[in-house]
Amino acid sequence: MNGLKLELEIVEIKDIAFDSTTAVRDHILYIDKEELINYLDDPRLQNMEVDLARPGESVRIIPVKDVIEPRIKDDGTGGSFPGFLGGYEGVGDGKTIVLRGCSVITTGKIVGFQEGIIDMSGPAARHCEFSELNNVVVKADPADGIEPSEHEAAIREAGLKAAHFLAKAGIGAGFDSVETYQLPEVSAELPRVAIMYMTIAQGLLHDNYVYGIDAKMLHPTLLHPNELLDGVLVNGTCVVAADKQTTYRHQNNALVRELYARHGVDLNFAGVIVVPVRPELKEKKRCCNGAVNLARTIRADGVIIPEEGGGNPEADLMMTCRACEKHGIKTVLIIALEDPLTDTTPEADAVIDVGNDDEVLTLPPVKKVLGYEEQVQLLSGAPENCIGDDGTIQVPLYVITGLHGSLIGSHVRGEVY
Amino acid sequence: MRIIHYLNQFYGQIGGESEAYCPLQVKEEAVGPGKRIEAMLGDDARIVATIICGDNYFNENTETVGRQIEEALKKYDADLLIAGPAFNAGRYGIACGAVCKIAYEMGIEAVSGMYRENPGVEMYRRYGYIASTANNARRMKEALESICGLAKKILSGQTLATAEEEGYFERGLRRNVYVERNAAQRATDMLLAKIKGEAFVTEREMPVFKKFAPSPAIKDMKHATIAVMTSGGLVPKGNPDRLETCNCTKYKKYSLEEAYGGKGAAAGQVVHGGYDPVYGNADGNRILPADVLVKLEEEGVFGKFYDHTYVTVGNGTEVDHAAEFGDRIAEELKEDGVDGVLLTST
Repeated sequence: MNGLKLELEIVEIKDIAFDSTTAVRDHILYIDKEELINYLDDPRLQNMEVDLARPGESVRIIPVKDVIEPRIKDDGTGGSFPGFLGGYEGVGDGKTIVLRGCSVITTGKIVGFQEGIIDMSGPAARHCEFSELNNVVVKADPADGIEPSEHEAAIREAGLKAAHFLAKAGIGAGFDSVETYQLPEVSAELPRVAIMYMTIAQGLLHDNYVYGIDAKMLHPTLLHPNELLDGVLVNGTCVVAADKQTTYRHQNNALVRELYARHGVDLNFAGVIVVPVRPELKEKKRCCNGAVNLARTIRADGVIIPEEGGGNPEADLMMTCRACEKHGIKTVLIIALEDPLTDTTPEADAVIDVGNDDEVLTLPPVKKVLGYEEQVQLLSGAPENCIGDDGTIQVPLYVITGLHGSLIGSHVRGEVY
Repeated sequence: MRIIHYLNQFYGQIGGESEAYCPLQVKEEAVGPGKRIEAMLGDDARIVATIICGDNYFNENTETVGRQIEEALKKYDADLLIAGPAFNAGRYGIACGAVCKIAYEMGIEAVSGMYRENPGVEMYRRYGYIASTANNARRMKEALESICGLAKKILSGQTLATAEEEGYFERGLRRNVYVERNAAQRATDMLLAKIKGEAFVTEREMPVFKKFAPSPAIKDMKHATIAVMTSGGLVPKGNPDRLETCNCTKYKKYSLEEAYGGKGAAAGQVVHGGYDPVYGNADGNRILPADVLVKLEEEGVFGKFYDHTYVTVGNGTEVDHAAEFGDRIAEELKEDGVDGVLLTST
């Protein structure tokens, strides 16, 4: 049996610029703006604009829908984001081109409360990994009569298409390094470790997609970690900005990276179990117990369970933890939450706390806003009168897009004092 | 550095229990234990004012005293408040804690000292660093040393380490610290330790929830007054009271008739930041089912449908806030003769 072997050919992008053709030259991504806008044309959208936002610039992007890293299979067949753009053959296998150091950011007033902020400089930038990227910002309004759910789908697809369009420029452009991902046989002595990949599937625009399938429709699913690297999981959620697991985070998951680095060293990376997080109790039981059965099927000795979202998903988190421990599978939970937790279980005795996200930041005015700055007042977590007379805005950390997902790879720890 | 010191009538050298009703007074100098505090802190710190108040007077005139303390903290421009130490004196401990809370709310750091069983610890430890002391004043010197140890660090701008390391009662506040290994690495380390049966320390103790026994069922529904309310954030259109979309700090009472376009109409607006508002905006009865309650009232299923509702946003709301809202709402409903409430969440 040949296991999956994925080679990521990394093209380092150090700057981005508009030009008459789309290409990568000397680590600069040149973009033909017209061509990109035409490529993204969609009857559900209007007023399509593309802007650039570079690290250190006085730019604020708000409200942010998603962040996506441009990736494509090296033969140009797609493969990244299968189910949306690419085919299903060779996913997690073969060669994938990655434009590292840049991203596509989509914006739009979809559900006002639930799209966050990315600042390219200033105090919020210190807490946001996307502030360090060269970002291609896609902005569009819904066409007349388009409902929020259709708007969300259109923006989600526009982001993936833009990433695909840009990644194409990386084909044949020459790469700077290769990262190889495969899981060879290792000593049977090493503990088998899996990730329980909690994935919000709550409906009402709190949805994620696995191979293009709405996760609401799924029973827990076992994935090879390479499938994540090839864009199998696509974010479609409109949850509180900090809670949002951006597509970029699925493509670049710090936990996947860590378990890969230690595969064969002190553990055996046994796989990724996608656990849909549904709101109904019956479905929670189905998904949690189904996930535990998968963990038992792959004979996991232990699982790490990072929570996506907060509040309602704690029921799933605790239920999964309890059921795993009952069957002798050790658990560690990763929680990124201010008070309060809404559920608990005595088995949750090993928890990683990635910090307190209600710390308040004062953000100075910026020179350029991409999107709709007044939306800050609506963001989930923005306090009353958050816009000062001097143009500064006061917001807690949890309006920063993707904060929690990023924290898994960050060095912040919550501490009680 | 400017320090304000709080003492009760006894340590403030006014008198014993017979003076427990003496009103608040301010002396612009160090008094009693304050003199030793000044000596221990050295030349950089000075007690610019000592606030002295009788224990009973304090606890029976909390509003007046609160205002006076706030004024004193402002007037003397304090860098730090020190209260006590109160050892195991209950009323004194509660007063010291309350003073710490006032300072906390004004953004001034506060230090006190109490015995672990002093009720002031449990009630007020959130608001200041309360050093753990012995239960009586025979150990005054050690207590003052503990207090001054904490005070010195605060005054020099240092961040205090955890409660265990520094010897204060854990405040239960959370903060972010930066550590060498990232969360993914720490999670993997912890899991491997757990699998091997080695020792590990969780980074977050899980909360313990209080359990409440539900009230007995209403015996006479035919004459009962029933209310409906929601934490789903269905506010009157325009959100006139600016309820926050997350971590909401308030609840509001509204007339169904006047604020929601008719008793059974529930025509409002969703400001809850945790779910898609489209369907609640289209028909508020999906969040606040007033239409059904009007119908049930007409059918005589219960006596009377209460004509007001209470609204808050249950999204990341602190448990303490929520409990306080609940207590206050329940009191008001009881006064209004409401027998039962239908609560909807989202």
